[in-house]
Amino acid sequence: MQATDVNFLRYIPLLPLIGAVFNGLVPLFRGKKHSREMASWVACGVSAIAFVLSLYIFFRLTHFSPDKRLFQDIMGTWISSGNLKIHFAFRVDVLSSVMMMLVTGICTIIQIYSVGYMSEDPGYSRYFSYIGLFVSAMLLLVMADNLVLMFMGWEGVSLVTYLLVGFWFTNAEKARAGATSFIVNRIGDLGFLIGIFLLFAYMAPETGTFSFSFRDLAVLFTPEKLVELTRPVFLGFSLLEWVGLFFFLGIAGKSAQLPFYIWLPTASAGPTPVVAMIHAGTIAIAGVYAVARLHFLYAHAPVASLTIASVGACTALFAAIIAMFQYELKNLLTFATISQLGFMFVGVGVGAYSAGVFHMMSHAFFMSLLVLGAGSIIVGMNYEQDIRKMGGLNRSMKITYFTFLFGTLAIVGFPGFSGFFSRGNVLWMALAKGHPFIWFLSFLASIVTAFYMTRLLCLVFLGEFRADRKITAYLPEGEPTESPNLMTVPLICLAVLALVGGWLGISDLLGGYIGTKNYFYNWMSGLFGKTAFEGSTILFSENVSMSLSVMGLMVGAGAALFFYFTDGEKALKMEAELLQAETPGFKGQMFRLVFHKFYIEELYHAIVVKPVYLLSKQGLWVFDVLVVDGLTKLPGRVIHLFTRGVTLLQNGNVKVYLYGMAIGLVSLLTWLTITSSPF
Amino acid sequence: MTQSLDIFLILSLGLFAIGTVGVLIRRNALFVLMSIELMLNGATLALITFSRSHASSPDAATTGQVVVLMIIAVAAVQAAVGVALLVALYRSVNHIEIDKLGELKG
Repeated sequence: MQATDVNFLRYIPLLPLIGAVFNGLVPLFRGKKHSREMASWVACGVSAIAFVLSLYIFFRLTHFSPDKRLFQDIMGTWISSGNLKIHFAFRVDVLSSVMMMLVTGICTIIQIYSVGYMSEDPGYSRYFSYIGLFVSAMLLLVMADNLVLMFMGWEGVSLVTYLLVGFWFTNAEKARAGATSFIVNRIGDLGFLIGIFLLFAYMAPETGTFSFSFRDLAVLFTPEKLVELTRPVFLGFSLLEWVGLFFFLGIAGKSAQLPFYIWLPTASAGPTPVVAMIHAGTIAIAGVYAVARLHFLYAHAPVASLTIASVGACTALFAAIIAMFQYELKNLLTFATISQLGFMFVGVGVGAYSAGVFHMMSHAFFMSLLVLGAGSIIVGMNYEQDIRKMGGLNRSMKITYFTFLFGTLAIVGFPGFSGFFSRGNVLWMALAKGHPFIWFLSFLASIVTAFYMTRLLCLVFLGEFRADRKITAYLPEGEPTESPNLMTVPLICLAVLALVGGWLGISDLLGGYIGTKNYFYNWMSGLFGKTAFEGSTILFSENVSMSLSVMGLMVGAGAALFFYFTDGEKALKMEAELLQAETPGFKGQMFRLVFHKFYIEELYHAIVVKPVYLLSKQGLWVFDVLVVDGLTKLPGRVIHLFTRGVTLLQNGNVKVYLYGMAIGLVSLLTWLTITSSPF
Repeated sequence: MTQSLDIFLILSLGLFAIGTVGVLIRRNALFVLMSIELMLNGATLALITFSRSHASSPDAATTGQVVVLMIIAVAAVQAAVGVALLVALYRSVNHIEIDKLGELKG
């Protein structure tokens, strides 16, 4: 594939970085008050410019024929050692261009929302500085030309996640949540690094240079080389399988899949727009992008791909079940995100990369909408998050209600909304590619999704307002109020996107009736190639999958409506009863198991956190104090020993100095008198 | 003239010695400053004594007197600076006991 040089690509990730540095420095010179307005303009401005540039890149790409859709910007050699030669270069193909628009677009909308949401916060400029870094790191990740540069963006997003989740660092619990997200990501990233090393160890050619560039890597997969690479090397798996599995460790860490998902729920400690950014616009979707980016590798690693699909399907169902009976608004939405990420991995795992990326796109729309909507609710409720204390908000927060309704319809896959097309594609592909069990797990997950989202909608927006005096006392006239325009306008934009975003990828079966093509699939096929199917089976499986999905939606949503629409009070009372530890019976036990998230966090605490603490307190602490501290302090002690005599002269007492001067003067004069006297 | 020279020099030595002892034993920085003035006056007295006794003519003796007048003026300026420093010191630590000021130790 021929690449065209476009030498302003570098400014797209650079602009948000400049904005971030600017916003970080300005409060030092201009004081906090003046820098506020400037920070919002600068932050939103640079993101918007980056978005416009991304759009421009996209439209320029469309002018090229599908085999020439590749722009590059090589800024120079970054690392050069032996036959290893890594360029600092950006390369934009069909996948990167879509990701760039998605990241900059979603992040710009979220930043505009943040101007309203964070307006009272003392750390205003710092917040926008971090957000700029977030956008910049994510752009570096999606635009990088090689694995090593991508890894830099990859680490960048987890660093900024740490900074933003622990944004309110004076609260120890929130600071710890930031650390958790960072540490869990580190564990996964070790696997990612090992994958890079393995690739270098086995892929680097005997002669010539090795650049880690995605394009060069794909070229290295020649038929002769593939025979060698797909030979079993260890435990019956080929080298490519091992590389793919190690990469997936890092990917599962970033995208919060089993067993690394625990960092995402703790990450909801951050400000709500940040949570939306993490869920929909940046770090969580980075993993899905990485699989799609490495598709040439996963295409030859069936076991690794199947692992991805299975982990995805299990995560989708597992997280959806946990989300069924959560009461914290943001927490519930977090598990919804984890579940949706699972669907994306089903898509990319079964080899339908375009379907997975498409679901990522619609997820970005509806999930950022839902989380920002939740932020609007939380502000309206004066920072109350418990959905048991909400209800009837459709009367006081009309715009939030309608936009949230759009988001819900999209995530449950209501026909016509984006989730219907994108998740429908994923499920259909799982079935068409011959993975009925994975399809079944995902299908169950989508039923549960319909249940918990409908329950959430009913409990928050419908029925009676259930807040007690403690909350209503702080609300004007005892009722929640609609958020300012700065927050509702982004919601409306996202609601429109959640509806129409899916129309880009209407599959051929439905598109045949209304005369549209699967634009998204055609666009992506420039990179992923077209999937070959037998004509009849594919139509059959899409029919089956789609009709079953709609039925599943009706079952899940119907069950939730039956309990929570008719009488939310009664249903909540029933849940409260089941939550009581005394309630006997299987039903109560199951409910408590789900409510406590299967006790996974407690399990982690017992088998990972406690042993590490124990080891460091009992064993390593002694070593640290005796050996490390001792060695550091030794030179200081020795010098102090020699200088003790001299330090007495400088004891700070002026009198002593004066006496010294007087005695010295008198002695000097006496000596002079004696030596020069004539006697 | 020659007999009276000893008297003046002894007076100047006495002033200087009293000043030195005052600087060494007083705790209050204000008294230390005053003692320093005393030492200066002792030295100035010696200067003017020598200028008077060694002068070849009465006109030449006035040179020493002018220098002494200038020394007194400079001493006044220096005292003003010293007292201003003491006021600043008092404002920051609320006392001027020099024994208690020991922060500059190495």
